[in-house]
Amino acid sequence: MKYLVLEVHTLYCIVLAEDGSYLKVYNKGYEVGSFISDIEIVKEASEKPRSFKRAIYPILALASVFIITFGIYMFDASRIYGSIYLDINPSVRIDASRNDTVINIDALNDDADDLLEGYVYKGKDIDSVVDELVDIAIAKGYLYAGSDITFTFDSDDDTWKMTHRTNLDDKINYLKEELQVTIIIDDQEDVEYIIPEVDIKPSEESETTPDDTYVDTDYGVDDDVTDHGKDDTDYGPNNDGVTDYDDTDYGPNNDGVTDYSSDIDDGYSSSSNYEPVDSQSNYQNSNYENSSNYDG
Amino acid sequence: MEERQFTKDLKKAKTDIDVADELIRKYMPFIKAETAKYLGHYASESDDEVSIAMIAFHEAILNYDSDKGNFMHYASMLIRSRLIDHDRKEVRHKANISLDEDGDDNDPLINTIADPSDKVDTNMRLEATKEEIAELAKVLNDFGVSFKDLSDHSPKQERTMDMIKKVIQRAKADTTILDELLETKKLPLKRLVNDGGERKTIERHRKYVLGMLVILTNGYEIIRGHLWHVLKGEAV
Repeated sequence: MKYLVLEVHTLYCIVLAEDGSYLKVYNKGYEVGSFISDIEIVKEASEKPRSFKRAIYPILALASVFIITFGIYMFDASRIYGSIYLDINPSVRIDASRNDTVINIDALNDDADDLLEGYVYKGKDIDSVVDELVDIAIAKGYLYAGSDITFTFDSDDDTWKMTHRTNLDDKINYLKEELQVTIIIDDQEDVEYIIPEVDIKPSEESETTPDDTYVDTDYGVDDDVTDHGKDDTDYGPNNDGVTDYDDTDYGPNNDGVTDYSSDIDDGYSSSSNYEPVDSQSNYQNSNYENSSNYDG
Repeated sequence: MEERQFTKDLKKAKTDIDVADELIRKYMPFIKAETAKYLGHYASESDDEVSIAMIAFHEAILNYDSDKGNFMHYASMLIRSRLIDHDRKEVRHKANISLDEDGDDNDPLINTIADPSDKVDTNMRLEATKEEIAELAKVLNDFGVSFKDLSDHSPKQERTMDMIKKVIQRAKADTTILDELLETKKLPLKRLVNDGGERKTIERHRKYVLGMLVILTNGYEIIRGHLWHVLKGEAV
């Protein structure tokens, strides 16, 4: 389309198009009487659409923010962001959404069914649920002095794990100080043991200081012997009255005698895990030495 | 005081292109300075970049409101951003244009390069066109019609345009209509329309039809040639 320039102003020109229409176009150095083809029609401030635009844009923006937020909220609300496992004997898994609302509790064994019976978690915050479940476990006798509890924190978000670990501090302190419960905290990278300081009454048989209680630890690399067997305990209701602090197999006080089978007290003989090891172990008559085909 | 006047003008310029034109004339040094700042060298009014800056300044006038802060800052920002847009487009277009490629109207670009011998012709033709336009402006002025009026009231609907074309054909077929027009300085509506519907449409576009009929009178050969598509055809 060709346009004839009829009138020239600083900003614009009036041109006559071949199709008979008169237009205002931006003046790009045009001259009256010249024929041009590349034009740019003058923009106009159309008041009504502009005010409509002004009104609609913030509304649209607000609406989209709302929709997106709501969508994310709904999406997050139904998605497991982190879980806390409670292991006493009843084992449960508590799943929470991003905003820490509990969305599901799984009973991982029969005792857990008993623990959760009648418990309503809907809409509750995960920290309160953990707190309440621990209280229920105490009330129902699953958790008592000398027993232990494992809290496992599972989430892709380390901060989430740390936050909930911190939120549990009060409860952990209570369990440790008041209830003398051993607490194991597992955030899947590190395992932290919180062992109550046992108020040991000085025993006439023992000259060791209470600090020595920790020599025979079940944690770390010191020995391979776990002494969790509740029977050989020196405290709590199952206290067997015998502190075996001198009978250690390692460290400076090592007596040189591993007493796994001979030094069985009443507790061990009834339920120790180590007894079967001695009686049924195949280590002595291993096939590797006697009947291996590799020898020839 | 001056600032208040400026704010007033700015508001008026949004809807009145002549007020905008006046503002731009006043602020042309600013527009050129902003362009020069961007280019890093002097910019003259004939530079493409100054046109772009000027259009950006007009855009600033249209879009400005007080919540955008100081107008000059806003205009300066818009000028800069339009010049950047232009540069980007230029880079893309410059990439490959061959003279054998089609220009406008499918003419190879090479044909549009001015032949020096044509220059005299071109100048003469330009002068002749200017004269026709000046004459047309003068005659239209007698009718109380300006080019600006025509651009403000140019028919946009095809149906309207078709009706106007019919009227043009009638006037072409009966030259006494044009004589009457020039004599009375009035549009002989009764002789141009067949029915009430047509009358209404033509009345609404009285100035435009008047302009077309004036062009049909003697002395506007170049403009008539330009409007060949509109003016062709038989009377109906």
